[in-house]
Amino acid sequence: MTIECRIFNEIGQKRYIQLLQSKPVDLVEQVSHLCSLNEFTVGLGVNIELPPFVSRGDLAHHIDDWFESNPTKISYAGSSLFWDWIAGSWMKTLVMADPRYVNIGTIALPQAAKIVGSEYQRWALTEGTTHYHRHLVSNPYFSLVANRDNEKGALCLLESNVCEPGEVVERIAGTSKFNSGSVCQLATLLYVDLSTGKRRSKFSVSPGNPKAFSYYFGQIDLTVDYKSMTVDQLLDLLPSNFESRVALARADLDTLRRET
Amino acid sequence: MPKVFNYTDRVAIPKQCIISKTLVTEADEVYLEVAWDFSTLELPSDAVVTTEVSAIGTFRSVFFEHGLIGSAVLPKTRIRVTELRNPDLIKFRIKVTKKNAEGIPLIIADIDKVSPTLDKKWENGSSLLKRRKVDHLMVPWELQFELGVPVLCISGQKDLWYQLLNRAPWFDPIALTAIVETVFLWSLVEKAAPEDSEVFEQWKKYFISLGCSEEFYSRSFDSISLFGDEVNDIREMANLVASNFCHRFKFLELLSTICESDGNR
Repeated sequence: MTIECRIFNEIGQKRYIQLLQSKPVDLVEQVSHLCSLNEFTVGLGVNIELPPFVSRGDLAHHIDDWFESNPTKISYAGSSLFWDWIAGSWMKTLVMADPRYVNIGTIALPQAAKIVGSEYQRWALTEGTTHYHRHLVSNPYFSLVANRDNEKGALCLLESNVCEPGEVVERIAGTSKFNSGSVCQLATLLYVDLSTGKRRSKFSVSPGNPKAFSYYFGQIDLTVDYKSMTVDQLLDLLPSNFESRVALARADLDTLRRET
Repeated sequence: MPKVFNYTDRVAIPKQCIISKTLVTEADEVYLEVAWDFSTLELPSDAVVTTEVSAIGTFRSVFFEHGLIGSAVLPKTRIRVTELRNPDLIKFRIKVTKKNAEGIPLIIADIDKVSPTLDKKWENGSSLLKRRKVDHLMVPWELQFELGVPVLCISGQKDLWYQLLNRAPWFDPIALTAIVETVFLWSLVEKAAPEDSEVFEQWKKYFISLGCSEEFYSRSFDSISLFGDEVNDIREMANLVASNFCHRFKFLELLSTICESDGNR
């Protein structure tokens, strides 16, 4: 679907958030309609294609390519009016592409409550929220941009499904100290199998799961400047409850280095 | 209350060692300007200093390595933070690190959650809003428009002028939020006289910084609009501006803290 790229005006954004909060049964249709109204949006004078994506990485690249083709629009990357319009306009396509809903087909969309989830911030990048990392459309793009120099290192933030980012994204993207650089690469090595590009089996099982990861780095935050450390140093630094995962991570790291 | 251990004899950097402010250039580039004097802290000259800047509601953070601490005095240094969403809400952390024998960078001094002084562009409107003591005023305060300029008049009776401005931390959260909304409505429907256009323009810029779009502001409203078909749009926008104003200065949190501490007395 190619449409004119627009942004919400402030009132349009407010209406959009009200819709997400009230979750009417025909939410998706109402959101699509709102996004198309001149009264609540402002055209940017360029088109944007909003194709179906399942992978966060594919979606991130698509938006990144669009900004590259439209360099004068890059300032909109900082605008919640832009991200909310994109999310609203893309909602139907992304939801229909989600493997959990694909069997439902085009006849009946899933219940609005399921799409929005318990937190409307998944579709609305509101100012001041501490849940901005949960925004399903902007977060993959920001994850890519923050790790542009080592995209493979950000696989933990990019490999999962757009509509269901999962626990690793929640733990790693949710803390600005973890979501880029060597700490992000460490999380990728621990929780993603680089040979398949997918999360390792039992990645969320204790010990050494993503919860333990964020607890550990939270604990040493006052003592060690881990942001400035290399991924090898960080692997050495991890405590023994990460032992089995560290072994897998080192093996993947060795393979990666041999390949490059 | 969680126990915080100090394994590295970490020094807490006193706030007064740091001077910081945000700067907004004509081209709307935003910088954090920071300077410090750590000479009294007796930190080793081969320690490394890093500044970590983040803002509420942003995914990105900015890391700036200043290099060796050297003489422990940093002249004014600018760190570009334009790419952070909400750069008016930035906070920063300064870390001084030194590697141990295993090469692990240990934090030997730090200070966190420092809020820089805001650029004038983001002040809370107090510099725009004149305040005047009116001895005969029979209500505690009142917004008046004198020669096309909004003025907050405060009663001079019962020592209220002094009490409200100096001893009532709840005054700004309660009074200013409503006043900002009223001034916004006034500025939308009033046509500024040439002699007041500068004040008018300053308010306009301020409301745009609070989320009102230029396009909305440039629409031609008049006093009839406040009762016509456009009333809902105007009210919604006024409410949005007031909400963002409240959010920017954390008035809800501030009021809640005041109420809590009053309740504990």
